[in-house]
Amino acid sequence: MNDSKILEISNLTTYYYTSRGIVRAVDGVTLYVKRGESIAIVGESGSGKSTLAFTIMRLLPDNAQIVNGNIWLYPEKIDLVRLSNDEMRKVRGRRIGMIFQDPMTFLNPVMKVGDQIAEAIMYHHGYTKTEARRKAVELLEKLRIPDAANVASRYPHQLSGGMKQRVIIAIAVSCNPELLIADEPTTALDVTVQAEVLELLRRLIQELGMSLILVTHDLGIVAEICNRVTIMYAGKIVEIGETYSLYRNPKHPYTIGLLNAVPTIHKSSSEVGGIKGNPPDLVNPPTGCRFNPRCPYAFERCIREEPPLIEVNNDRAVACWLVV
Amino acid sequence: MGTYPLLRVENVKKYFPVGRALFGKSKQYVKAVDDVNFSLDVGGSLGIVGESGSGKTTLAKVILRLFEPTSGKVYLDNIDLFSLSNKEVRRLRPKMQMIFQDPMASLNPRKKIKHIIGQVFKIHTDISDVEISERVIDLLEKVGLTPPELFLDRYPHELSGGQRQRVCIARAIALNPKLLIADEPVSALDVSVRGQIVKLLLEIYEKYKNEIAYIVISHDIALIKSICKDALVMYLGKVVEKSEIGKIIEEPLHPYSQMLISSIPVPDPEIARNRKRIPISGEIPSLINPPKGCYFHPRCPYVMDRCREKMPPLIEVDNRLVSCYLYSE
Amino acid sequence: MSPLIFFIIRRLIQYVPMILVVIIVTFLLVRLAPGDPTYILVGEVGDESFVKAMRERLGLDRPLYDQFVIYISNVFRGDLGYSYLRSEPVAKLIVERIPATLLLVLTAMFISALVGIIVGTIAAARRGVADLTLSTLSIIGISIPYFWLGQIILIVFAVWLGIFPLGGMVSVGYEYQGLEYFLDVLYHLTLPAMTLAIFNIAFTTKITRGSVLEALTQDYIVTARAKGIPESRVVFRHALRNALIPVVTYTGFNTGVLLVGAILTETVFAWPGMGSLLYDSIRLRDYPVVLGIFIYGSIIVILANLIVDVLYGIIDPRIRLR
Repeated sequence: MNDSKILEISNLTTYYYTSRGIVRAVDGVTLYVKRGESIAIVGESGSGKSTLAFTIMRLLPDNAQIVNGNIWLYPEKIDLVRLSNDEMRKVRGRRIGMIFQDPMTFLNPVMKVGDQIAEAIMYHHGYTKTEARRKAVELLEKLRIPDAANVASRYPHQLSGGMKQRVIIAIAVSCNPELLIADEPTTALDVTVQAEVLELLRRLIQELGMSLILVTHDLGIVAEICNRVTIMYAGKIVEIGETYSLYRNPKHPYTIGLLNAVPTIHKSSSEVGGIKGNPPDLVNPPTGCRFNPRCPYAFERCIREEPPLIEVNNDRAVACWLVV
Repeated sequence: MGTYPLLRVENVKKYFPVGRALFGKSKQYVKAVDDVNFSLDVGGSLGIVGESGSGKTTLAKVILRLFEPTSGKVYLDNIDLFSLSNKEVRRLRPKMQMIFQDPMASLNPRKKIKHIIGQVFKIHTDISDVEISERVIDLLEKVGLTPPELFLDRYPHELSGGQRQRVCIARAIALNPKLLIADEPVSALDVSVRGQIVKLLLEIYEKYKNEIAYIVISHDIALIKSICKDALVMYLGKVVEKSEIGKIIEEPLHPYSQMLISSIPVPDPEIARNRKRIPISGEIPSLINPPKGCYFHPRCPYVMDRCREKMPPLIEVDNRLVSCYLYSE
Repeated sequence: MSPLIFFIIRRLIQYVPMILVVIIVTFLLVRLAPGDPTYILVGEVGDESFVKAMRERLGLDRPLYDQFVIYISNVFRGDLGYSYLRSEPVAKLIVERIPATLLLVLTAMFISALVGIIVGTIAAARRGVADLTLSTLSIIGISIPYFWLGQIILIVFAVWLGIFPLGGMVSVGYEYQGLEYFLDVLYHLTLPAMTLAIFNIAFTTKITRGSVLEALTQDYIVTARAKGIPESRVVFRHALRNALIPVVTYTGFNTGVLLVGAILTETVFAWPGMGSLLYDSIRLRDYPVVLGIFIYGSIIVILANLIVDVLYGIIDPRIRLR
């Protein structure tokens, strides 16, 4: 792996404008992704992790807006935030592919899956429909789908959940993008199917040399495939680190709580802890550190002042006054 | 305490007819639950593990008479549940309670918390209103909704997911149930909140150990492990393995259990990347048209000829039950 | 037998009782209307015995249920009876006029579906001024009655501007053949088809817009956009196809409304179809013709619904015909 960046996000801020007020879903996020690396963005619902993913793709709903920040795509260092819609369209699918959560709803129910895969190939590579269809079948074969030609001529409802998710993956990688964003790619799947899909993802990014941004709430699947982990809480990054070191030695109280909140088969039940309270309302986030109302170590400064994300050693950055 | 198990489930089956026929009976059935047997003592806790289509939730609902069984027997405290009339079942309902995955869906959105919990006493007891509100306060404290006064007059939508699940638990334990079934009790909750609810379920279990039996249904073996002593692994309506949960995790016997255990993502990169993996192939087949012989054989790495012919019986191996020809002579 | 044919046959059998109900209801409705064909036939001057003889000849002296049983049994033998006024078989009268009506209705339907779907989709995709304008126009279109609109169109385009004929289906006195005949009919068709289509365009636009808007909020639209394909393709290939079911339902459902609209339009433009025949027959209480037209009309509506059902299966592969 060389150390050149493929994506750099700086001070990115995305708000939703709702009837209840402004939801600060992503609030000043700074992050980079290296070429060939797999980085996880972990958070609960409402942490802003999915909004971050959709912001990078510029696929936000109408009531959301990028308020501030830059998203540079390398090597040209083009700022995706400032691209015209037409230019952004050329980035989507071709340079950044995206995998979505629910295979039931993210495929067009009235279009054959082969055509759905072929579409991007037609538009980005200028292939004819027949050529693109052939490419789509080849791609399905590469994903080790048995009887690929037959699968390509089916409609989504005729396929199983795992198969549909593979089709979604095929669509995302159809134009060989340099970066893949996966938003909860296995949440809707059964455990055994999830393991298979993860294995497939791992192999794909290795074979095609893609970088991966994996958005998830599941620390388990992160441990399986990511090099680095970003922990998000209430629209902010609270900790970033290399996977092994972060799991072994989490520094932010939220990260510690999160790692303890989930029962695992290697833990005894007495070790299951959890975090008191609930995630905050992002229309009215707490002052200072957004985690302070739930933090067992919170002190006066945490309520008053927001901790910056500070690098504590080479590969770790933490936003907590305890660590400073 | 009696000498018999608190809960006995014998040859329970639940078949759903499929396809519509204008005349006569439908010929095809989905065998959602097919011949399940187990018993549970007072203080026992059993996890039912399975993926979608395994029949785990259907089994729970049949045991509680929320679904009418196709055949079989269930005895709770020596009462034959399937022979009771609907009215008698209703009267017995407080003694057998279920906690569901989605707490929002199981709470009446137009009622205040105090009424939701208080209703149980109104229907099944004749205690006074004053006493009811005392009991409700007591219950809210038990499930960690403190101070209770803060929650009495709220509506379900004013609570967080975790708090709603606490209300459901309070309602379930209101009249000292003998059997408590929790169906995916934390799946719908935020990750950071799950631990709290697991802890609460454990607390409740400890507190009522001498009178209650617990069943937890989940696709998540880790959750089962943190609450239950024993577990039952189901695949397509059949029990494929039953034993102590620790043993299933350490040394799963049935190839499906092995596959399931090795599929669980482990939030520890060291273990996750170095453990041995069972190669996974294929997906869960359709219940309408299950494979011949052992239902698992099309996905099984150890498949033999006889697996394709006949469903293996559930046999005992080292105090454990498993349905696989690998373990029969 | 292919499942499609099996499906169509099953449906047709299911429709038989429906047609029976239609016959009963229209039979009763026609008789409940005030007025008596005998007097229209006999005129003011006929004496009592002549009237009585006429009633006997027409069978109107029998009890209503007798008349009904006779009528029904004739209908099932394919005999719709004779017109009181024109002394011709009802079936012949109607069949002669069906092509003209079908031509008018189908043209209006085609124009309104085409224009309505395109305009509705554009309105949904481009919110803002375009949408507001198109939505307002469609509301206006929906609120205008046919007969009034027909007369206005007639006055403007035929009387004032003189660019279209005043009425009829062909130019009288010219024996056009082939292409010339076709163009002549097209020339005469324009105004009535336009009149009939406008209401439908408005409604189809409104329905398409709502349906496409709904489809655009679906998850698969995000997938399509993430591929980087042009927005027009996202809207027309992905959203519209999924939005078509309500539009097709409406169009099929609306066949009956269009037939009624055709009656008014045909009368205004002297279009020689079933509409003008029905108008005359109702006015003159020509019961057999009125009933016959209702039966034919309901068969047309039923066939339209059958086509809609078949279209469902083509548009949405998840719908299995059975």
